[in-house]
Amino acid sequence: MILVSFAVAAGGALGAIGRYYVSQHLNGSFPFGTLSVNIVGSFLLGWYVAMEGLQILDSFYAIGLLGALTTFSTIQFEAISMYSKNKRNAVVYLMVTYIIGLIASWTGFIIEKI
Amino acid sequence: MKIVAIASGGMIGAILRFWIGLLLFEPEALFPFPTLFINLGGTFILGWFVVYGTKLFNSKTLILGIQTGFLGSFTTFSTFSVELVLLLEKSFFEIALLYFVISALGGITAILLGIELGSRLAKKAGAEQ
Repeated sequence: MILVSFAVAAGGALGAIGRYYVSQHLNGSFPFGTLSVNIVGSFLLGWYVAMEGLQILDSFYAIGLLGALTTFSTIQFEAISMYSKNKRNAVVYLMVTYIIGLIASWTGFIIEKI
Repeated sequence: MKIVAIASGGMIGAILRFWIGLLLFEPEALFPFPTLFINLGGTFILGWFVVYGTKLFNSKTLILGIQTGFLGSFTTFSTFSVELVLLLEKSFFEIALLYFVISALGGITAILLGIELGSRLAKKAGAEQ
């Protein structure tokens, strides 16, 4: 349990730093950075869960790294912040995140299964 | 320092998500309640934090650590989308649709409620000064 928590923590630290760097570089009036990490993270996690027998790495990679690389709360805040300036962009942002995120996870999952 | 703050926040956020997830986990349940609870709870706290919590701390580094590090890592999008894929793959279409709708509508509601709470607290604090 302690070892697993350390693995989650290590992954969480790396995931958060990764998200911060990508967001710093790609977020503008449209949060392309947050969108990118969410889509890439969803793809990688979909691919990962389709694999079997890698339990030792689960906590580091799936819960820590990819869990922290991607974010849900920031999406909502960004959408609300955008809404006052550009309603259409805010709705597009949410829809693109959900739809492409789901497709990305699905693609990752299928790639590993076939 | 920024990186240390974000890394520390990210660690705490991920560990808390893991622990709360374990506490709420029920092997029989089909509906991914732990992730929903964590995502909506974290979103509500983020709304409160950006309006009011940021006034409680003088350090920009600390604010970054809490907002981007801790709250960003506590909530997760990859788990949400993969849970949807797993539900769809097992043909639990109604549960998948319900999970998606509650997460999407709940997310916006949670951030608005958090911002509202933060604004009220900020007004109250302003009136007392």
